[in-house]
Amino acid sequence: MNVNRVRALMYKEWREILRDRLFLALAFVVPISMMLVFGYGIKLDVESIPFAVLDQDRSAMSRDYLHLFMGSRYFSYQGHVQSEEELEPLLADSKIRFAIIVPPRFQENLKAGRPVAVQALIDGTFPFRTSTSKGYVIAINSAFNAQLLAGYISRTMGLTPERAVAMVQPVKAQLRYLYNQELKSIWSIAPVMMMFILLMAPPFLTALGVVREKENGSIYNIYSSTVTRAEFLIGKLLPYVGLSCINVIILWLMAILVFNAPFKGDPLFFFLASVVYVICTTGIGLLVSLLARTQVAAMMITVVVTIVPAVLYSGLLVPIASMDAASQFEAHLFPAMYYTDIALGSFLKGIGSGQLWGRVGALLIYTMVLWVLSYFLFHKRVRA
Amino acid sequence: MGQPPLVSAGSGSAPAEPVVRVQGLTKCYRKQVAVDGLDLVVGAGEIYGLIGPDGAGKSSLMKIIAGVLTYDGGTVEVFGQNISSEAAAERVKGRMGFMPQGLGQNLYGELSVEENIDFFAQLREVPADTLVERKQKLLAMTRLDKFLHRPMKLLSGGMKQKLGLVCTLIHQPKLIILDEPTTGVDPVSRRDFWSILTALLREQNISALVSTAYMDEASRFQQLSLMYEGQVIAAGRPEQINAKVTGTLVELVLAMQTMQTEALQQLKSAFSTG
Amino acid sequence: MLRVFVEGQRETPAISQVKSLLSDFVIDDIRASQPEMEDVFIALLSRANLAGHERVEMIKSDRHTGLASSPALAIEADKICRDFGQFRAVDQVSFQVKQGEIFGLLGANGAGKSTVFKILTGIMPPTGGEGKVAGQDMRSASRAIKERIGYMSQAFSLYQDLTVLENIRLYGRIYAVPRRQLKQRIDWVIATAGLRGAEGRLAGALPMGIRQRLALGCALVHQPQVLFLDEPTSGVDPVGRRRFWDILIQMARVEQVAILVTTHYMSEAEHCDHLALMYAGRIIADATPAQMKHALQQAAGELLEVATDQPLQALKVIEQAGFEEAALFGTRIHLLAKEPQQAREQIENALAPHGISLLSLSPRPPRLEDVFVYRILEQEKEARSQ
Repeated sequence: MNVNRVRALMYKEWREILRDRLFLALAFVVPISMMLVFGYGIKLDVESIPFAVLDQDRSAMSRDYLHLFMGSRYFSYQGHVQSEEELEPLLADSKIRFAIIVPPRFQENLKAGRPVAVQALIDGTFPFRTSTSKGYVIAINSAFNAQLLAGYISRTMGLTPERAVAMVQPVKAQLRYLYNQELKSIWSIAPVMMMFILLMAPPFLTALGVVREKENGSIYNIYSSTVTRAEFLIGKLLPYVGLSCINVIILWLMAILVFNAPFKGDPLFFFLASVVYVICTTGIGLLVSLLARTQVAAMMITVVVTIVPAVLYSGLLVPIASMDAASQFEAHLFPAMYYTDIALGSFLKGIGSGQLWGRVGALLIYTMVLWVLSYFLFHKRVRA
Repeated sequence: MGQPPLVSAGSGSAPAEPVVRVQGLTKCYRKQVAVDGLDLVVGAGEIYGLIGPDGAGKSSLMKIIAGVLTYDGGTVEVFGQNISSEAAAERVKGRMGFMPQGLGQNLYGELSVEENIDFFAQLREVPADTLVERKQKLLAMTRLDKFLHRPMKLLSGGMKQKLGLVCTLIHQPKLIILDEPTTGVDPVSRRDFWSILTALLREQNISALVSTAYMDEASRFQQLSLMYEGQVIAAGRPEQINAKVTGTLVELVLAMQTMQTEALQQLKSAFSTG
Repeated sequence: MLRVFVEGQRETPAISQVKSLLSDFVIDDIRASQPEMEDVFIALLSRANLAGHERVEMIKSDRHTGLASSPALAIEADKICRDFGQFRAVDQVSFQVKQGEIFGLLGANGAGKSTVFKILTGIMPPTGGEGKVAGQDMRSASRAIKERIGYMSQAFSLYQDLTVLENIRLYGRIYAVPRRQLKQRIDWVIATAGLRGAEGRLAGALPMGIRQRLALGCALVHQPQVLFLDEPTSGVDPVGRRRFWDILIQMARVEQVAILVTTHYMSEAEHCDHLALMYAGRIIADATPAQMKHALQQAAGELLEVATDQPLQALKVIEQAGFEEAALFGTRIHLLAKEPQQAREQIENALAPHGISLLSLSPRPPRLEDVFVYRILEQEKEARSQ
């Protein structure tokens, strides 16, 4: 291998990238904006659900009951209505996502020892949020029930309110949230976004870079000279890997400084693992570029081949363990899953090479397969 | 009455092996036949022309000879070597230079004139010291020395053409293949290009295979093939081909311009072309 | 000017044959010369029965826009200037194109031709000067101009994935051809451009020559008064080019459309009624082809063709002998000489000491390429001396 030739190819590519201002801007602007948009935009926390109230009883007890909702950080009180008909348009318009209807004679029935049914209308458009909301409602409802029961016991058995409560709810679950104490979804979204962006952007840039040569004819300089396949592939690709490494640092800094995600792991290990990941995804772009003949085709194929696995098979939306067997198998075939583990592990769990070497190994295998495949698919004498 | 060769063969040497020998070449793109049973022989030190319109198969033929395009049938020998396998083609590429179609398309727009030349030189493993003097000479000859640092995308058509030529010759190949180097360029630049090309080839005894869609460039070549839709219509020296068809070209101007179309119709019915 | 290749006949019988065929017409000027490679090519093709034989139908269209009422001058450019920052791309360009005239705009790439086109078609505003196209002022009425002109560029503006018919129909709609006339116009385009039988083929699958005619047809679908063609025949085979020009000639002579065309094929420039040569944004010559050739002879003399037994060395010697603009054409040398006899002696004397023998030296009628090269080189010399 002639190192001078590789250097010449790298140098040429690097200069072309630097002087193409638009390309250069996109290479950095796109990842940064994606990070910002998704980081600030995706909120998986279900909080401040807007709701309205229809209190058909308007008694002291109904107000007590409703206060439990109004005071909760999970709900955001928007106002009350006078009739059920008023609720429909508000729900349809998404002005509220949840409505509580307290029936008439709420207090009267409760005091008489008769059960009452409170109706809760929840917007079911997003099942995930709906089930979470349902959980809150049931919990608050149980809390009220427990309160009533405790009050009754305290009055009839002459116990202090505290003792009464202890009788009603003897088992308390002490929940500790490991790794993400405040349950801030942004803390896990930021690292996962790194996985996502580094799965999409490097292949995009790389595919464009190679196919551009095919489109304008300068690829013939390569085909018609004695430069070897390996020299070309390395020389052409290294600048794009370099660009992506810079992006790794930028995105990492954004996660820590802009989104305040904690980083408990080993920075050096994480950076090296990220470089392996980036070489891997660049390899995806290389493979795509060998198969596509126009820049437009390259872009479309890249998008399909990277976004779909990134969203479905990385654990971004749904944990891999909860997928069915076939999907789990497919998830193991894409690099996204491995890097997600590395990223989340480094940021939130504080683990390093000790536990994650296996994931890095998987990425290395993936990279080698891609590059070897590209080497054999690249011909210096083409069919058309 | 023999026509003098443009470049005389080396004194006292035996007739050299042809640099290119093609026999019965066929190439198809899916359903379309681009080259159909074609023969071609390019002698050493010759400027060989391929003349024909778009779709004649010139580009395909040239790419095949340059070893950058596969072919479906026939034999292709370059420098006496059969290039049927990709590996065999690689062995001869070092001695060839190829300039694809499209003015300046294979050059790098963001790089300057000098950076382009340096890149091609490094790609072709030209030693640094040789490069310095060769570069100087070629740049002076093509008058590009004043534009050393100008980005290639800002060059005029004629300058791009010359830069492309310099980059193709920088490693002193034995054979250069130029695909329509003069298309889309004005007559002055074309003339300039031809004089530079012939001077360079003569000096270094390089053989050239050049294609063009301009019929009037036929007299530039020592040997040429007229091509149409994948076949060779006629081959040989320009005078030989001209002699195949005897006749007279009559040019006339009508007193009343508006009658031109009717006159044209009359002529067409009697003769071919008008 | 009309060109006919009479196969198998020598000069005198060929001329008389043509004359007798055109006995109904009055011929101003007629001359004979050796066939060129293009003629040989076409003749060989027809011998091998390879060239297609589609006839281009000549149908006269019904022009609703009464051209009798349209101005006699289709294009008037008056001292047009265009600057890009410090760079003056178009410098005081003035010329006129009459209705029914074929006007050629020649010049090197970068001389300013495309910029002039863009300004006249209303796409780009000028920095100075006035202009009128189809009677409309280019500064204030660019929309009206666009309705009255057709434009065909080198990079075809056809939709590759649509058929021939679909392309024509699309252009008809884009140019707002009234519904009632659309079908008629489409028929006319297909007939005139010789596209019968090809209506259902995809534009991208057509051979170059036919594709060009289609592009031309699309530019004509709305019956424009003025046609702007930017290197329309680049890369097309000679047969295709002639068919293309047949259409242009019909448009100009019969339909009285004004045509402004740029080309690098000097043989096509011969077809033009009038030529303007541009250099560095200026017009350096503005005359008919015949006038230009005549002017060349006045300025630089006869064109002589010299054949020797050692062409390359002879060229050097001749250049040194004072004929700096001598150029090699294949194996022969072309040069301009004011005094041919004197030149002959000079050359013989110069070649003899080098052992080069002069095989022949004969005058040739200058072609437009010689005019072009001479004028441009003259300008370059002037520019260098400043």
